[in-house]
Amino acid sequence: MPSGRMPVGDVACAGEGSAGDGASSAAQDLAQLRARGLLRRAVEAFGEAHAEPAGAGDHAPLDHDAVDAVLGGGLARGALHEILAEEAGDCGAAHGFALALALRLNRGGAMLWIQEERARAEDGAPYPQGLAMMAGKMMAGSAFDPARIIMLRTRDARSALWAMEQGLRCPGLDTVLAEVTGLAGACDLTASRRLVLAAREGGATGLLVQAGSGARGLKIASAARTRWLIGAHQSRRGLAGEPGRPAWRLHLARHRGGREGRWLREWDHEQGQFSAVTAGESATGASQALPGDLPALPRERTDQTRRIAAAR
Amino acid sequence: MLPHADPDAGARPLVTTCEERGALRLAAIDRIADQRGLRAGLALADARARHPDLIALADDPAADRALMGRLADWTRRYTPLLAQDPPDALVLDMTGAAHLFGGEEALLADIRSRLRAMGFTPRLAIAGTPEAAAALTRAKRDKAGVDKADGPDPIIASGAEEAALRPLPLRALRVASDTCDALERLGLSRVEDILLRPRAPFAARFGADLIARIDAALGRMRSSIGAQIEAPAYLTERRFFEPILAAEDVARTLERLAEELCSMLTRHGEGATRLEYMLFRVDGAVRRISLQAGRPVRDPDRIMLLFREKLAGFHDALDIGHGFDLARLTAVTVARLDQASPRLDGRARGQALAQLIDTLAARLGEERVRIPVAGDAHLPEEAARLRRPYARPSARSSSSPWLAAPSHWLAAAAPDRPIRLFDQPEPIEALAGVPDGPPLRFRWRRVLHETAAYEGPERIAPPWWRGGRLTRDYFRVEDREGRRFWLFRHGLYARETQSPRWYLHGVFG
Repeated sequence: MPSGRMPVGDVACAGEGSAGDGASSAAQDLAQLRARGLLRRAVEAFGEAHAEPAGAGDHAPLDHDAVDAVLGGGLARGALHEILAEEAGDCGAAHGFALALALRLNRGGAMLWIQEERARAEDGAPYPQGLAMMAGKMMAGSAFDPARIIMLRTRDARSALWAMEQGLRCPGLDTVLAEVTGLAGACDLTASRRLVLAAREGGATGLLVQAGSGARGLKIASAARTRWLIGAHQSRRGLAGEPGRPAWRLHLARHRGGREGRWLREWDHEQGQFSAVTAGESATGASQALPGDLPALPRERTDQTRRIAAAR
Repeated sequence: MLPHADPDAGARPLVTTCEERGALRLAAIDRIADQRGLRAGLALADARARHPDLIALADDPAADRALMGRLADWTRRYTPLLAQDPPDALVLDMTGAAHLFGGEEALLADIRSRLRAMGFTPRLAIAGTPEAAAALTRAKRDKAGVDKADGPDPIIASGAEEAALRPLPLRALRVASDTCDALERLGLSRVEDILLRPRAPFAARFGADLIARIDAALGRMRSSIGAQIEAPAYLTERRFFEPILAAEDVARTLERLAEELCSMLTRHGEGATRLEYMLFRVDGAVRRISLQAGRPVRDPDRIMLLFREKLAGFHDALDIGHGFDLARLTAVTVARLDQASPRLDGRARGQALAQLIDTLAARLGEERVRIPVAGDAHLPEEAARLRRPYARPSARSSSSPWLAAPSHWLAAAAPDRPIRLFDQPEPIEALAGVPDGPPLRFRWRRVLHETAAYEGPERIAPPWWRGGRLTRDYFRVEDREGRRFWLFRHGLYARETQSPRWYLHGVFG
């Protein structure tokens, strides 16, 4: 960084350590780290609009006392979290839970969504219309907007992890979600430590999703703060017996410096938060009070679509 | 004209052939063939009868065009303004640039010696108009298309075109062949034959084209070469007497060029949005590394970083070979960029984001970075598209079309669109109680799922104007394990098909 007019924003998210050559890159890293330190202090000093609100803390609450108590107030920001599926068939649940976490972590910034090509072939691509529906109220308040997701496809897990590190170091992002198929060979303890470090420095939260490997994935050592095993759970039926809100079995299988736990949670797609599966425990009764003709609500495209809900 | 014959081919004539009017005819011939009296257009059988030792190869117009393309790339070392003049000519606009190469004679000598070293037999000319220069080079071959490359390359000063062009045959001006034939029957074959006579009768008899071509060549009518490559906004370059061979030197050169370029950009208050680093190899090959920046850049370090990502993405990208003797960095497109005072608000975050996108795109490929945008379509796979991140929407908060009709899904008991969608709907074996009913069980990826609850159908018909596609009946299905899927039956039973197939299109959370 030879020039003094270097704008602070330029310091941020570029390829430290990855593309450099030996000593010079290390020196460059050091310079950039220093510059970043300066940046952070400057942000704290100025307390500008997008600087972290003082009271927000570094945890995103998961809307349940028991869960938040175990997590020490919620899901830690600026950390790495891993999400695995109980079985290969639970990929939808794992992706749903990862999305739910991303929505809870969302603070109106951008999100980087990295997908290894093989993961795309196996679990499909994130579908923005569906993502928007999961966000509910957040969409209306424009706190979350699929158009603010940067989608990145990578050829292999290695470049996915590289991109994740770049993203975690970038101050413009709230969350970096990376989907990989198999971490064996690509991600070891060292690689995940790099990610943890990057998240701590950059302040973004990393979500590493492995939907394909099942519980075996836990055998690979990882420096992640939490590691979750997610399974699909029967949803509460709607009035007409149709499948209801997403429901998942959460198993906090590894928790660095904390207890583990198992819970059953539902995702309230209207409020954009977690809720209880059993009726009556929270405000979910509202959805049951909806008029009985709900499934036959006239839709925008009545000429093209017709919907009949039926109980089996 | 073919390059010099291989030494090991001895003195055997070499020709290429093409099929024309039902017979194989000579398309191009080499010097030895020329000396032996062969001409392009001769039937191959006749040529073989005269010279049994003839080596004949099929011609390959596509390869010829590709070769001319590479040659055009190579000539960019002299000027960014150039045009191809098919099939075998290149026109370079050297206005005001010849002195950089030591004057016009030196320029021609340089081009000639380099092209000869590559195995070409160039015909060169410099003139005040592109047409005159082209005519002079064409005139160096006689009617049969054989090269008379010997003799000096003509350099015609501006204004002296008329004298130079007078003795040339009309064909050299690319006058249409039948016009030439007609004129030759009248005994008029040279430019001066036309120039000495009144123009109007010629124009009336042979069309305006004849006169227009002469006027263009003489500079009486303005013309441009129609450059095929847009001239870059800013350009810096380094020439090396000793070719550079080390990758570090390539990077160091880039660094210097980037600094020069950025100082130019700063002077004009602009930043580069598209950059190109060109390396001209001694043997004529040209390496091009171009990159796009999300926001205008004017910072040498930033430029270096982007190029480094780009280079890291290649494997053995440079292929230095015998070295590069010219390196050029151009800002192909630029945009206004005022000296911004660093601010620590959303703008800095946006900048950081733009830089992240640039870094990812440079390393992994521009086509891998995308941003979702809602498409105005009913078919689920078309209801969301991906766009390039560079075209930023102006008002990101209000214009989100996913918000268009929130009441539908906000009121629904569960999201009715999946969070994952397969690029290709996956075929499943499904068993339905009645042909047009919901699936009772289905097998996807060899696993059997029993339906526990479902909702549907939601009927989505393809747009009528696309015809031929089947209606889809979508079902939201939850199996006994609680896994939720989005299935559809393809085609309405009995109305569109007798045995509708089933597909799994998406997965719910």
